[in-house]
Amino acid sequence: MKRTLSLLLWGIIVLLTAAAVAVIAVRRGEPINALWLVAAATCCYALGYRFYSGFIAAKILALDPLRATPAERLENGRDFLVTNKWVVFGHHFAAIAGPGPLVGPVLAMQYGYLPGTLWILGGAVFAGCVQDFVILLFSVRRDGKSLTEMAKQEIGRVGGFVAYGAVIAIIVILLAVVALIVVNALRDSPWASFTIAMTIPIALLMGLYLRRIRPGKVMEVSVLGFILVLAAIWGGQWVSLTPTLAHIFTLQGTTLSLLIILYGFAASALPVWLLLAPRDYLSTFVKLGTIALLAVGIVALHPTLHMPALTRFSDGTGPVFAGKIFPFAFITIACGAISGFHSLISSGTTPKLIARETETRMVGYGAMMCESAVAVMAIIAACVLQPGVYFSINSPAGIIGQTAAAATTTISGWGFPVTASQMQALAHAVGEQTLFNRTGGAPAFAVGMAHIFSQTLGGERVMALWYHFAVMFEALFILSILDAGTRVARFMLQDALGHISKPLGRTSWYPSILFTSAVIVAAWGYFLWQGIKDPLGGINSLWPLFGIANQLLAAVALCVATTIIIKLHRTRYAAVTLVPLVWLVAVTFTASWDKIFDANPRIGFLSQARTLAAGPATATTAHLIFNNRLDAAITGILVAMVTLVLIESLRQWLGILTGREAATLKEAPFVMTRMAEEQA
Amino acid sequence: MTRLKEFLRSLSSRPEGALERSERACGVERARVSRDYANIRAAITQATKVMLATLREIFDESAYARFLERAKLQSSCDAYAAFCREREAVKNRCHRCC
Repeated sequence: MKRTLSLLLWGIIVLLTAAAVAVIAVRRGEPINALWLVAAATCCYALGYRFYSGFIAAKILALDPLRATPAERLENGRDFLVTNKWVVFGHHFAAIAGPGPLVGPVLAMQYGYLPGTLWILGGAVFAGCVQDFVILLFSVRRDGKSLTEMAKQEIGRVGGFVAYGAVIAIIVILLAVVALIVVNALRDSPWASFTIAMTIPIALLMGLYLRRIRPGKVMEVSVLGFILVLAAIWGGQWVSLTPTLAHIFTLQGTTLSLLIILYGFAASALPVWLLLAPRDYLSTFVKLGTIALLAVGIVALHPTLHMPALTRFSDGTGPVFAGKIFPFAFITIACGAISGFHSLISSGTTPKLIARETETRMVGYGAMMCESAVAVMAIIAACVLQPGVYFSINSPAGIIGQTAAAATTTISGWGFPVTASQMQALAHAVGEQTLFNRTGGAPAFAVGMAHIFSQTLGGERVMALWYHFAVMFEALFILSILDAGTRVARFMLQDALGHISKPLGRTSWYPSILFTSAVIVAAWGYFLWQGIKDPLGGINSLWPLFGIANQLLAAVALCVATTIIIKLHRTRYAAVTLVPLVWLVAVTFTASWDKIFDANPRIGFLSQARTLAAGPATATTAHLIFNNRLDAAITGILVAMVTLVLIESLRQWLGILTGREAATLKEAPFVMTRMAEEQA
Repeated sequence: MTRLKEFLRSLSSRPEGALERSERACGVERARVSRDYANIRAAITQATKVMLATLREIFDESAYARFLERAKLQSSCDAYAAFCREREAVKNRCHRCC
């Protein structure tokens, strides 16, 4: 009876999935309701979790509830700690959910909602969740070792070196991209600039409160900080309406870049308790709350998606970034489908908290599903906008023209009608001077989110407040990533320099702190400056570069996973990680080839350098040419490094399969869990 | 006479039996409902506890409590400073996602 009911239930879910995906895929020419996306996502995740992750857990990984995890064996109350599975789940989700699943899908909506939605659903179920799940389990079986250590042990020294290099490259490019997103969101916006500026004294106040007044009361001080941030949003409106103050806080892109570079350096060099930790707590608090609120808002409002399923830009001529759906949609959307960065989290803090092997399925596979759901919400937020509005916000002036009239004529000519007065009214409604050319994805997401929130709560009157709340929400946790990322990269650099000079490796030696912080900030600051000066808007070249680096790291993680699966003598199931690996290699290598060599100057770095060289020489031409060649070189180096890992992995696989090499796993020895005895 | 007695007995016993049955049914139903409420209450309490524990873990409050227990210290400015130093060595080397 129970089995029949179960079969019936899963049968209904399969039918619902098929219906929802069919509506999304087949419906053309008329808008669809956002609930179809919600239904398709929910059903796909349910099926993926119940059947696919169950299959992987049983047939490939053979999760063993009796095997003691490092949290139990090495428990020290500090980093190794047996923790409730739901608590680990929340912790893991809070660590993997960043701006990536919000910004990437918004940018990729230039192709229409269909490619992005299908990639997010299929990519998450068959690739992203699988990567997070298997890497988490393999790290648990190796005493919580990091991806770079596992790559070194299981593939060879080349694997470890490449993973290390890829991580540094990704961090630097990621920091530049997210800083560029913040700059574009705050540019010429006194309200938003004031609100974000206020988060610095608020964080300092929180740090002092935590340290001196109520030690350790983080949630209490986070609530206080949140109230102060809300007050800053409210105050921002007054600032924007006061001419003298508005003038002070109306900042150009270059000024904002310099301020953010200075801020990054200060945040990396200051004591962690003063600025980094309080801001991190505040941004996590706001992030979790806003994601939950957005989910409720989407279900309550169930808005109509105005963006078509497919736009004319699938041919590669898109204004947001150039390039065809394959491969560019698949590198633009990373975090919602598959992200190499997650493998660092899955082999970082999380494996040291897992109580039983069987819990890795829920934490690894399940948390990534939730991250993917956040990406679906971002798609909805972008697609509730009229396409003309979406392209007005996300297209750089270099493509659509410098004036409102020129921009609306160009965009309307593409078949997405929009008028200057419509854009002016929208800018007025959200408290901005203009919404044209606000590239980077964050402003478009903020407008979509403000639309959903204001329709659910408060109406049009409060749209400006919701918009600035959304901008604050994005900027706050992007700045947290900037602080924390600079610090992580500094530690990695200090580790490496420690091999050359012992004092430089000391993380508490102040000259070393200042020197390494300056190197890291200079590295991402350079790319940020390049993005600001780029006539095509910066996002066009930097986001694909970030996507390529991120997906190449995922390829390294999948190489590690496939090698371990082969060593486990589960070769017949190796396709589970091998197919996503082949797909990622195809995507990233094609994208890299296009970004380096494509003849279209909007796509190929080298051809853009050639075009600039052939055109009229200005003061910045030589610099722009150098930047394009530098981007091409970085892309080439990343691809070459990953090719080395692939060759090394392939050599290992063939050696093991032909019997020339022993399949030696570097797992920690089996120890029976005490928890089973305690339960018995 | 016997028939009358039987009839009277049946009259007196029938409502009694129905009442008993209905009371028993009501009692069972009441017990079931109250058991359901208790289960729901317990589930909500448990979910709230897990949510609070998750938040305390995410916001490092649990880590601070463990630190105090491990170091056998009372919460104070100095204790929190020591905790922050230890945390910096462990947590801030961890990656933050995109």
